[in-house]
Order: sequence, then structure tokens, then C-alpha cells
Amino acid sequence: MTIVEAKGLVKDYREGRTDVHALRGVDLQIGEGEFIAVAGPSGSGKTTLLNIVSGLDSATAGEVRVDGEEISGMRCADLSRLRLHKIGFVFQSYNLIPVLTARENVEFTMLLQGVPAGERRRRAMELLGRVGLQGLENRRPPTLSGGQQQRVAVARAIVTRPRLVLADEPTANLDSETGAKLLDLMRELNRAENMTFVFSTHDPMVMDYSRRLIRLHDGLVASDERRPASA
Amino acid sequence: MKTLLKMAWLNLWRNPRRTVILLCAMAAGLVGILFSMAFVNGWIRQLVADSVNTYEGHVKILAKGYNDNPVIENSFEPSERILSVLAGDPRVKSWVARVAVQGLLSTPEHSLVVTIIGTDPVRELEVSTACRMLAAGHSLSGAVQGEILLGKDLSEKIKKGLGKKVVLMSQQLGGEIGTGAFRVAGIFDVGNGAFNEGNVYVTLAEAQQMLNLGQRITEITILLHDIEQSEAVAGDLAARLDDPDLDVVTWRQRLLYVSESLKMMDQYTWIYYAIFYLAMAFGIVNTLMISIGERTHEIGVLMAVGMTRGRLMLLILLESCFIAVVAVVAGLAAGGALVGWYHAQGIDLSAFAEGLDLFGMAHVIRPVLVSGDVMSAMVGTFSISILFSLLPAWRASRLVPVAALRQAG
Repeated sequence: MTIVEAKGLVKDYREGRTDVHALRGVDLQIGEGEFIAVAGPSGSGKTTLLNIVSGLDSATAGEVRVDGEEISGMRCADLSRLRLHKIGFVFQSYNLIPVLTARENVEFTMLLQGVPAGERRRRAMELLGRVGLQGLENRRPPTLSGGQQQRVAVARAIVTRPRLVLADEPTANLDSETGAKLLDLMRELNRAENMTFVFSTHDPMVMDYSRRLIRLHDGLVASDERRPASA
Repeated sequence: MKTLLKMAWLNLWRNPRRTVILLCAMAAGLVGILFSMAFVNGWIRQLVADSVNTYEGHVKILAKGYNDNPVIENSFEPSERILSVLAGDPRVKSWVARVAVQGLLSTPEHSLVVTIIGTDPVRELEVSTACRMLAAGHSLSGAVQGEILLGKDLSEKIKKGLGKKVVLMSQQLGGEIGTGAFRVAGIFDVGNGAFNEGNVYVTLAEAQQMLNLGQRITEITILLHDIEQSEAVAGDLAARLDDPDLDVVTWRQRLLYVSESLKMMDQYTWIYYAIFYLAMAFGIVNTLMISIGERTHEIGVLMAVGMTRGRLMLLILLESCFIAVVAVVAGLAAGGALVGWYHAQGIDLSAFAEGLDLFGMAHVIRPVLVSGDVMSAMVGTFSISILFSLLPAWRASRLVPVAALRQAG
């Protein structure tokens, strides 16, 4: 089943006095349960592509469907609902809410979904245990290491069991050992829950972990390579 | 909601110094508002209490027209019916029949216009304080003829002390001039220079004789057990007496300058409150805008994970509510304590005694807070906090998520 379908995606914007053509006509299909890395040099359009797929940004031209819903021209409230219920985010700089504890950060998206408090707590505790953060549930982000914060961020992204998890350079601020553990975790979730993961990355290790590697160059898909499941 | 409340509360304390400065400014403003309200209340209460207790009483029965034109022709003969109605009303504490007319007080050196008050010496002591607040001598006895009480300021002005002789003159009923010679038996001091200088007391019988009034009087002044019943008692008396030649008026109708003062103070204080609320509004808008500016990236994250604009606005409004709650609690506590202390100590304005006397103001004011004022200050602070946080909240909710995420986190 197709989770993301993009046709002829174009994104132009102005930066100062310069016209930037971030995407020049990207066609893409992402199926359910895929584990994809989108790679490319800086300015190739990786982050722009993820932003448009998630509805955080709009395309200048082209169409995007997420889980069957056409999101171009969607109202702001509908895009919020789409992100809340169908998309999980993992950011390069973790982006946890600093005033909330690890558990409360994980609960946050469930809170927005209206999940009852007891259920929220149970699921957050279970997931934090699964990502190896038992005993750290009540710590606030500034007291956690980068790797621990990113694991909280992963837990926050997947706790609502979204159809699609978008991760923007999730290992960029982590050492290689911590990065590898995090990727193992996401791979395991991908296999166990059949969740779809899409990474934007410069990191060769992430590319090695992925089962499909899409390379962007100057706003176009330069290559789209599928890899064996054991990679 | 609990998590949103927690987020809102903790967001306030990300920059504790800024929040504390804002809270102190708001609380200090609230203290200022409460204290000024309490001062005005204390002043008005004192003014009313002084006027009522010194002379006016709570309710008066007057001849028709006397209230607007207090001349001897507007007098009446108290009927048995009036006296029995007063005697049968349990809300009435006491009453006194008086004659009060303008006249001239003369000595070989001075001639001054005064209000000549003829009264029942015994009943007057039950109704008002003037004849009891003696600086020298004794009150009117009724047993000795030709006694007069002067106010302290009048006595000093005409340089006539105890035992000295003065002459009163006034128009009699019928147009002739009536005169009488009196000897100073006592000097009263009610703490109000204007009253002390403008009024003299003689016995009712001698005033009636001097003014050729027979049994007529110009007023019956009534003291009640409770000032709040003034309007009700006046209404009942008017209905029961049902006499077209009589007016029944309350202290509110008599003390028009108090009403006017209240109106004037209302206008003045609302300008003051408006300035305070405006300063508060700027403080709130400024603090929230800076706070939101610092959290732009985080707001982008909140939107990215699915927070709607409405919830984001709610979060900012909750922050504003918390600011208002803490400022109100601190302001009420500090304001209450300040008012309480000054109520106990009294604010001594005797340095401005001359000016205060012109307005009939007491020299010591005791501020009084009333629940209505406290409520209006609280509601005002909350309303301003919510109203003026709508703009920052709205601006935060209009941020474009991708642009917000690009801001440094």
C-alpha cells in the first residue's frame, strides 16, 4: 500500500535577492513499511521534501498524497490533524519540550489526540522502557544526554503509532555508537510495527541501514536504489 | 489540560527575573489601585460619618421647601402623629426637634453670619456629637436662661471665651428682626473647622421665642440604628405621615457635596486606573511577545507534532492567566496588608488641616477596602491580562511551522 505519493513536486522560494529552486519536479512513491534514506548534499532539497510531505511547507507546484489524502491546499487545521494522527517527527536537534519530563514529552502527542491520562501514561512508560530509558522517565531534557534525548524523541514520534515517521538527520548530533543504537531501535520498530520510516541524511551509516536509498541532487531525484532486507 | 497547565506555568519561569519583574510591577499597580480605592472609601465614610454624627442624622423631617430654601417661613408645628410614628418605629434610635436658621452673631468688634441651631439640650446629646465634644465649659442645660455654645474656631475668631456675651439676630416669622443676648456656656470642637466656625447652639425654647415661632420648628433630625436603613425608613415615614406639607429626606439628599465628591473621585480614579491598566497591558504584551520570540522554534515543533492553532493560543492565554493569578494574589495580599496597617494607624493629614476644612474633611483618614472594589480590581486585572494576551497568542498561532522551525532552537 502506498503511504506517500508525490507527483511533479516543485518548490521555489526567494532567499534575499536570490531565487532558490529547492525541488524541480520530484516524483516519488513510498510504500507501507519501507525504511528509506533520502540523501544528498546540502541544498539538494532533502529537508524541503520532508517538509512538504508532512504539510509543514507547501509546494509551488505538484501534488502530494499522504495515506490517500491530497494535502496540497489542505486547511491549516486539517494539516495539524494529519500530522497529529498519521505522521511522527524525529528532528536533528531532538526538539523536546524542555519544561516537560521525558514521560510527559512522550505523552504530549497522545494528549493532543485526547487519549485518556491512564492510557497515555501506560503507553509512554512502556515505550520509554523499550527505548532503554527506564528510570529516566521523570528527567527533563536538559538533564539527559543527546542520545537519550533522541530516544525520547523517537518514542514521542512513534507512540501514537503513526503511518509515517519522518526523521530529519536524526543521527547528526550523535556519536556513531549512539547513532547505531538508535538506528537499530528504529529498524526494530519498522519490522515489528510495520511503520514507514523516511530519513533525510548525510550519514553513510543511515544510508547503510536503509533498504531504499533515494539520492537527490539539485532538487531532482538522481537515483532510487532498493537494497536487500539484510542491509 | 493538566499538561498544558503545567507547560504554561513552567514556561513563565524560563526567565524568572523577567517574570518576577512583571509580577512585581503588576502587583505594585494593584496595590496602588486598592490603596487609592480604600483611601477614597475611608475618606467618604469618614465624611459621611462626621456629617451624620455631628449634625445631619440619617433622616430628617422638614417643612416642604426647607431643604432647598432654609428660611424661617419653611417651618412646621410637630404634630402628635409625627411623634407617635417615630416612637413606634424600632429602627429609630433617637430624634430631636430643631430650629435652624441663618442669623448674625455680633460682638462689639465682630459681626458674623452663623447658623443658629435651637435644640432640645437632652435629645441633642442622644442624636449628635457636637454638644458632647466640648473643648471647654458645659453643654446646654435648659435650666439656665441665655446660654450659648460656640465652636472653637468661632470662639477664637471673635475672641469670646466662656462667660462672654454675644448677641444673635435673625429674621422672625412675620418679617421682624428678633434678637437675643447669650452668654458662652461651652465651646465645642468637632474636628471640622468649617462646622466649628459656622454654627452656634441655643435651647429650642429660646430660639423659638427669639424668632417668634411659637411651637414651630424647622426640622426633626432622626438617628437610626443602621445607616443602611435610611432610605427604607424615609420612605416608610413619608408614606405613613402622608403630609403634603412635609418632606422626608435622607442624609444622601442632604449631603449633596458628598455625592458630588463621589462622582468627582470616580472620574479621577478611573483615569488613574486606566493608566495603571494600560501600563499593565503593555507589560503583558511585551513580556509575552519576547517570550514567544524566544520560543519560536519550539512553537514550530509543537505545530509540527500536531498542535492546533487553537491549543497554541490556549497555552499562551494560560500563561497570561497564571501571571494574572499570581499578580492578583500578591497584589491583594500586599494591598490588604498596607490598607490594614493604615486603617489601624490612620493617615494623619493635619498638616493640610486648613485645606481639608474647606471640604469638611477629617484630619485623619482611615482607608477601608470594600468587597466590591476588591472584585472590580481583580476582574479588571484578569480582563486586561486575557484581553491583551490575545494579540501575542494570535501572532504565535499564525506562525508558519516551517519558518518557525528554521529559527534557532
